[in-house]
Amino acid sequence: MAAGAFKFEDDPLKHYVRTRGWLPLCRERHRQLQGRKPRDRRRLRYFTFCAVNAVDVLMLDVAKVIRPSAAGRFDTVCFFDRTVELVAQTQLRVPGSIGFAGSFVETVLTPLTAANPLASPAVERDTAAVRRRQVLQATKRDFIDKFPFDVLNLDLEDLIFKARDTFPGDVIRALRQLCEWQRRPLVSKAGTELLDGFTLLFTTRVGPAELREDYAQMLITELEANVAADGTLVELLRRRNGLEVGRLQQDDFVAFFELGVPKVIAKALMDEDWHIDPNPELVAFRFTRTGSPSYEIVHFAMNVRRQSPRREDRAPGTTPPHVMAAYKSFARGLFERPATLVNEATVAGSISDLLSTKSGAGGESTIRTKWLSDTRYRGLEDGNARTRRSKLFSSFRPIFSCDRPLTCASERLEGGGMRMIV
Amino acid sequence: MPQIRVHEKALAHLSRGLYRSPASALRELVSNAWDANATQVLIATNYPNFAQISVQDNGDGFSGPEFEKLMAGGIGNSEKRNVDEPLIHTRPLIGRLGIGLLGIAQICGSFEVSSKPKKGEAFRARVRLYDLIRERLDIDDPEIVKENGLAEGVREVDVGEYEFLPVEKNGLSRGTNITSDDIHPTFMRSFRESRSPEVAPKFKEPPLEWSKCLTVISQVHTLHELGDYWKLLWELSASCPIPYASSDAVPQGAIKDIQKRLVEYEFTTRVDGITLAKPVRLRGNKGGYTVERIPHTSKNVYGRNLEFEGYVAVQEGQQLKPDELRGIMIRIKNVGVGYYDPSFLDYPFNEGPRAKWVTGEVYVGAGLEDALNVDRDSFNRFHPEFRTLQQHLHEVLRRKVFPEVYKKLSSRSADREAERQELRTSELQQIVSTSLGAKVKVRRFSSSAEREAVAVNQTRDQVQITFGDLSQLRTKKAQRQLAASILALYDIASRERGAEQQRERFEELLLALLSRW
Repeated sequence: MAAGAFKFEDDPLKHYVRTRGWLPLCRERHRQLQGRKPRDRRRLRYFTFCAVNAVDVLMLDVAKVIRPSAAGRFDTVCFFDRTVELVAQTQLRVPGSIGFAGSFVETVLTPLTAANPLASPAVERDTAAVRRRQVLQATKRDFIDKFPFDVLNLDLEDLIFKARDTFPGDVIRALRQLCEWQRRPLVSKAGTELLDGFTLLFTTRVGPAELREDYAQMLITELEANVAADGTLVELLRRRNGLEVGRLQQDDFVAFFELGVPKVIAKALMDEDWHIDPNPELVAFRFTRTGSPSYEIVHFAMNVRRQSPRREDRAPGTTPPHVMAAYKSFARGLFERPATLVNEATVAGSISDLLSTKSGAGGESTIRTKWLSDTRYRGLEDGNARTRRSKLFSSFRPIFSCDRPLTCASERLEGGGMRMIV
Repeated sequence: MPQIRVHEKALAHLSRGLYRSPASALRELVSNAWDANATQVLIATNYPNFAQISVQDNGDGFSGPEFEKLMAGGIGNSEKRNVDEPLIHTRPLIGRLGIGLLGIAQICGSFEVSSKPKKGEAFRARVRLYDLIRERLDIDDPEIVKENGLAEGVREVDVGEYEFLPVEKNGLSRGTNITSDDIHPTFMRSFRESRSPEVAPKFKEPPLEWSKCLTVISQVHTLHELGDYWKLLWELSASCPIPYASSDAVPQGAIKDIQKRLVEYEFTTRVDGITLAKPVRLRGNKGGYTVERIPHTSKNVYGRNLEFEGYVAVQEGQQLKPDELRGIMIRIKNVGVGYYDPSFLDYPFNEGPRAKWVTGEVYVGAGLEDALNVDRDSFNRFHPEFRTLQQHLHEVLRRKVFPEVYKKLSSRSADREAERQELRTSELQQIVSTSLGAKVKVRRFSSSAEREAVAVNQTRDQVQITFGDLSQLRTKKAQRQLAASILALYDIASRERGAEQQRERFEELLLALLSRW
């Protein structure tokens, strides 16, 4: 299967993560915004790599977490996608959303050399290379202007540590940059606001197994620092997989990765004056993307808080004690609770529960998720935007609403969806 | 006899600067989609960043070999579709020059074309147009200006290059898709800036429903106040072969049949999620509308058939908004040519402000294509078919539309005058009655020349003011009523006993009158 061709939207395992991991945190963030004084209330600002079907955006729309403007535009939703075509298709599905095409990492890391990148240069000629630089810088400026967001959904579905990147990796450098921009003031009719927290959803492939030495050392150092600071973590780890930190990389790479990566993220956040909020704790999900080759995907969902007092209000180089305590608590949580392993049985359990409550136990049903892409096309043909979205989600809702796991037999169908026997 | 040739460079130039606005370039792609039997065209401008553009249709598409043929010399040389292959829903064929595909080059330096034809393999190709082409043509850069090899002195001009890209299995749906992320920075900048109040003082986020957009548009004097993006939406809505928002968009059923036909064509154009309809919506005017239908007309010009129909509508007493809606839009095969022409195709008579109340459309079903200039935005105004249409339209305006407008204008003026007089009579009554505490009657005998201009009869509890022939008062017509009223007040005041009382009464009455006049 060609890169990028996997129908992530149709994957029930991914749905599970969306509904169990992302939705509760986004709902809570939305609730906080709506709990403010009336004049300070505003719509949730959401950044995502939603892909063409924008299932996460539609899910949040149905859950009324993301709201359109008075003009019917989802203009608080921003997203990146690889190509113009994909961005255009997503904008059709999420009208009024702000889309950026191209490489996210390249855009974020491109240096800004001009105050107004789109101004006609006085000396340089009108060539493709000059135009490309202008547009790339303008895109970066536009992107920066959209910050801050209440939810950053970095659903990259890619490797976080790449062999060709310079240490500590382009993704981490980009994440740091994002965290810096998250400190930008949000100017609205109600006034200027500085975020005191946001929700970070981070997805990455597990791997590569042959991690470059400097990356591996970074993860090991983080883990060793944790263990040195809290001796009880050694026992927790031993109970989990019978291993010591020194043997993790070789003997249980997945655990090594799952424990190490959040620490790297936490470090990047702390460097930019944020910290992971241990309440509620970070949640992690892991599942296997079948294909050739198969690979493991891990999702982290966490709340992030601004350090208090802010960097500019405290002595240089110091970290507030409550931030250190929060970090310790977060690190301990990671050792205590491994990522939830998501597989067909987990998801089927949820769906079968729904079926049993709807039509009584027993019987055979086929749940197809492929309809997502097909019906959405048809649904867009007529009616107003709101009706279209409701129509599209009318049969999608049940997947979101089931929560009692049951055991059932299931098999995945070619082209998306699954067959199950309750 | 030696032959006259057009230099290849001329066409090469056309590939970079044919249209006067981005909307015109996009309109050509929409026309291509129409000719390809598409039922929907989706245009995405990446609003509000304008960093990309894409035009996608669900039409018949074309194959890789057809694309190669087009790129290797077919640009501007497209053959008319075989008449044995009629378009769906009895659509007329629009296409002519076949340069539409390169029209997008006006706003970008490279683009991607992908197409999945009804029959044949899908393809995807990236087209890169050479930079600084005009300068290179001027110096006959040998890399792009080459000997043809087939005939002496005939040279070919390369304007760019293309490469085929891999196509993902089942990755394309039927139709054609043109996308570009190499949008010229000037275009991007201009469209972005047009969202700022400094550049477009009345800019608003366009609602996703076109009817709501029309409400916004109808509140500005000119589209410039709303900025380039709104202008793009409006121009596309005005020029694409799409239906009106409703069949009563023009009063008196003037477009009912046209709308029926347009709806039957089943062709929609969506821009950034907004389904466009024609930008005409004439309703809610206090003075009403005068509408003149131009019924289906057929004329022979130099042995060729010219067929047209349409309407002219006048918004009585009220300037049309926006300005861009004023004038006459000519449509060939349902596609708008340029903008609404506020000169009504060089109408030679000055109709004063009345001309700003007029809008109209002429649908040309046959003929006039030869009169079209290469940009498809304007006409050769001395072409015999154009002259014939022009003459017909001017006759309609001169003999039917404007006479009716003047008739209504005169009737409205008379009504207004009568209303005004009634109001002033009642005010005069009120002033005198309040001042004297007496009953006041006002009578008018405007047609009676024997009577005095003003006469006042006063008893203890009643005052009768009679206005006769006011033309006896030697002042401007507009001031006669005021003068007569002042004279009446003077007469009333002069009945007071002493000079001081007379003066005081007159002052009181006069000031009261002037304050209400």
